[in-house]
Amino acid sequence: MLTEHDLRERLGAVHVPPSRLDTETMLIAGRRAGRRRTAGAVAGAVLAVGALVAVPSVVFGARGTPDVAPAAPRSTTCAVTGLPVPVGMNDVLVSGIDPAGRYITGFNTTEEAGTNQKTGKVDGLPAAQPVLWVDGRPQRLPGSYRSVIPSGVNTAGVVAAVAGNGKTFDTVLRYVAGTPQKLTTPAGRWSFNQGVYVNAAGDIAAADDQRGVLLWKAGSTTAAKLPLPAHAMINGLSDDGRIIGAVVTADGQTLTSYLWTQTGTASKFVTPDGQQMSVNAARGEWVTGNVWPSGTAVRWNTRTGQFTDLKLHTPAHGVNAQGWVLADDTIERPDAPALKLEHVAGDDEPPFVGFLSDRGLAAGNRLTSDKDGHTVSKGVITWNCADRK
Amino acid sequence: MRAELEREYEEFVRGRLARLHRTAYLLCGDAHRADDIVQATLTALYVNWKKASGIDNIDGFAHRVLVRRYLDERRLPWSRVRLGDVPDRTATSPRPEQSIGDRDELMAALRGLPKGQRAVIVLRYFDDLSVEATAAALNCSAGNVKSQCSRGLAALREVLGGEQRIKMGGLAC
Repeated sequence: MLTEHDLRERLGAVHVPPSRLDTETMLIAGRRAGRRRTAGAVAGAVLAVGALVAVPSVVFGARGTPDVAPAAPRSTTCAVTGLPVPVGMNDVLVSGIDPAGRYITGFNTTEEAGTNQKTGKVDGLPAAQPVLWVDGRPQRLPGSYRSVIPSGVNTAGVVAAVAGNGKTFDTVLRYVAGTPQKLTTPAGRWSFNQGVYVNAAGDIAAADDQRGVLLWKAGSTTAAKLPLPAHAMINGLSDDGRIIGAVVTADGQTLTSYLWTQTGTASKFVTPDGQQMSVNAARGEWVTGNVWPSGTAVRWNTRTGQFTDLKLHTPAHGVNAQGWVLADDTIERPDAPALKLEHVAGDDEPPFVGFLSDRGLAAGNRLTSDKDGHTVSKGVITWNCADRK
Repeated sequence: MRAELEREYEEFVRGRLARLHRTAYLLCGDAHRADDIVQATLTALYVNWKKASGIDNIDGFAHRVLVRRYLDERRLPWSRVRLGDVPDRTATSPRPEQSIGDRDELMAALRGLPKGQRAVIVLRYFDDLSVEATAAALNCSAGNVKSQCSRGLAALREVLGGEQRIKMGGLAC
């Protein structure tokens, strides 16, 4: 039997993988944040650009050694634009962009998600209202659910979203011309907590990692359950209808990423150096993700087999049809210098940049902390890197 | 920041970094997310160090910021990006034939707890925070901490089960 002493000892004995952080890197990160705040106080501009151009970007090496990316010759002039949000929405987070960059999705939350801190119970989804920007103009999307979070939009403006009124996202919605359709699910209680994906045709895919992966063909509200492995997770739906996803072993130690056809034929992602690869996004012939244990972002051309370790110790969030990889506030391009997306002068936290269109429009959020230390949105912004050399 | 203040901050980080990282890892179960949480926590402290360093219980303040970062993290869309974390199903449906060490088993059991309960267990039994300090970190009452602690321990007992059963009498919430 475990005693209190045993529990303390076991918590202290849990194997924790090495941290990438050390005192010096934390000092550097703190100084950068301090400079941003100071720059903001001086500039006083809402969307002033370029205050950090001369400050090298610090990324953390796998062994705790800071790799300092060169300050030059990066182009740093992607135009930054703040997007308006609907009146009354104060905490809007971006959640998707279509490949052409015309449509952007997001959602507004009005309360904290998940477990109630006071009761310890999962007391319901956070209230979330979906937003769609069309050519930069925001509109509220309708939805008779307490929580609606869009996570995909295609070039026709078809939006895929998860929704729910209770403790889980048990519903998938398809918005066509701004009008929601509820997509039916097979019998049982489904829970879609991984996001949903829509491709150019308007097909929508979503996964419940306990029950399976569902696909709704464009125009249909009836789901087909795909013959994929148990506990399959999905990270994308290609325009040719293939599923990008992964399976983790039950002990959590091994993650294997796959490209599955709708009949279940699998192509396994095997990295040249044998590392595990978590595929985070795919577009056309390009795939991006992170490899482990190095933790670095990678770019993979599935047509040519070209595999590039970008040496960035940061999540690779997106890839576009040109092979540009979005990794935090950096865009790595195959045949051109990397682009650094400027932080807004005065912001005390780095922005979140999560989505990238084929032509190079990146979308994200300015972030800040409220008085309780919660991370909240300070605004929705885009970086237009379309014509950067 | 003045050199003297920065030295104070550096000393604080040097002394706390490893423990904060372990706390964050116990909370989120992923070393890279733990790094993100700790980095955000310590950066926030740096920016506010002049004020924070004057707080009587700077460790309590640091824990409060860290827990908030952890609780906020899954709310944000980029938490969908996988950074090698382990799915919760390992906690809820372990395969009996698998040989999972005690330490991994404890992590799996922790992952099966609601976030609030997990935070209470980690702060109380790893960070050795008092009930009151845990309540301050979570911005809730001492009664709520005791309640969550009790539920969390009961859940751990149930998940660990059998020979790993926690002797409730030996644990004080």
